[in-house]
Amino acid sequence: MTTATKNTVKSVIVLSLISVICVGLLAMANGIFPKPDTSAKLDTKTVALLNEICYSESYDIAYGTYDEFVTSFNDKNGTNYKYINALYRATGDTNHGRLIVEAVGNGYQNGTVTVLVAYNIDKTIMAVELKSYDKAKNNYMGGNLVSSGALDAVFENLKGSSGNVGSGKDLMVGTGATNSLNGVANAINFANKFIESVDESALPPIVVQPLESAPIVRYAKDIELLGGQHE
Amino acid sequence: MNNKYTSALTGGLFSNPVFVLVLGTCPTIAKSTNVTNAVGLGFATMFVLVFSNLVISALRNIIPDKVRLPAYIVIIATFVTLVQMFISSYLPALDASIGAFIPLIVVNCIILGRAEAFASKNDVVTSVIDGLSMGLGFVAAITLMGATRQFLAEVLKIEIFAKTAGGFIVFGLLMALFNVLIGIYNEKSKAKQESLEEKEA
Repeated sequence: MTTATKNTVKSVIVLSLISVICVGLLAMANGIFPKPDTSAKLDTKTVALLNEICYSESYDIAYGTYDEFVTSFNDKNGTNYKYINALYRATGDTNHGRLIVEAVGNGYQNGTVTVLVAYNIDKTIMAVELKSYDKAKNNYMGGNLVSSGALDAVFENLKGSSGNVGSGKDLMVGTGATNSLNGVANAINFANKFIESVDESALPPIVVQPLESAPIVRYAKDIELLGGQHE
Repeated sequence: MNNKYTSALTGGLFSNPVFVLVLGTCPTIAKSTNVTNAVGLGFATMFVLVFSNLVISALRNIIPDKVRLPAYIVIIATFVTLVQMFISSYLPALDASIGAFIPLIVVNCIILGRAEAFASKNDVVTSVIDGLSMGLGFVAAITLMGATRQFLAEVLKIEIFAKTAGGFIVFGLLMALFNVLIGIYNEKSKAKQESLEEKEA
């Protein structure tokens, strides 16, 4: 074996060994570090967004019976990149029984977008808000439309619609966006499909909780701030 | 103290990676909008710098020259992934704010630059000291940028400093100030050295 061949073989072996050790280390770390908690929560941001699209004195989150219902729908219809994250019910006097769906859809290179879609009693869209999107793919996920404010016009046009709202291109009215809205469109379509399967009478009765013990009480400041403009 | 240790220890100041070597400018400007982001990204980069220097220095005689760059990148990427796992598991708020920039630490010129220019040519202890010094230099620089921009944008309400253009302005001004101060210090040291030599003569 010539020296050049030996050197090449040595290079391949060393690089392979380093790679194997690194992969082993990462696999071990993956087992040690706890997975990030992605379960639905009434965190400050969600409550603020819920208040934006469907103001209420309090919300009921998809715990318990809801959770089972959402999971069963995801098992039948969802994928790793397209699923329902939560079903909320506005339980205040003004919007008693109003449903809001938090749906995740996939866009460019399976980057994900999370939207909140509030529904009227007849299951048409009342309002839509973008909760989050894969920032690593920024403009391909609608990031450019968020910063320019064009997404608000897209969501405004969706009010009153139901069923399949089309692809990203169908939503692009006046934005000039091409594929960047595919994630948003997928999420909304999935939310619409989900809401059609919801039989409101089958949902558990709303438990009226005193304000002090309801989850919303932690965000009383948000409610107070947003209350004026929604009343 | 041994001269090479002193040199490695003061590298973060006199060869500051941001203000003197002008490395890692992209994350410095992008994520120095406030102190929290700046400190978070600074320490994440410092962790990767110290441990990649350690491993690369320890393996410097084993890694063949032909494949040194891919080997360095694999090692650096491993530490970056570990940092990313840690941040997404324990610091979700920071993850939401600087998460997109964590994977980009792999291609931060400071890391690969120190691996190639220092760790691959020096022993483990000196390389770790260099990583610590350069890392602290980066943390200090990006934190100073973050504090300045936050003060200008939030206290003085000059909005441009919250944007990228403001980042470039602050970066330029701080770099100029830093180099002037280092220049003054160097001149004083030189004059002191010369007077000592004259006395001895």
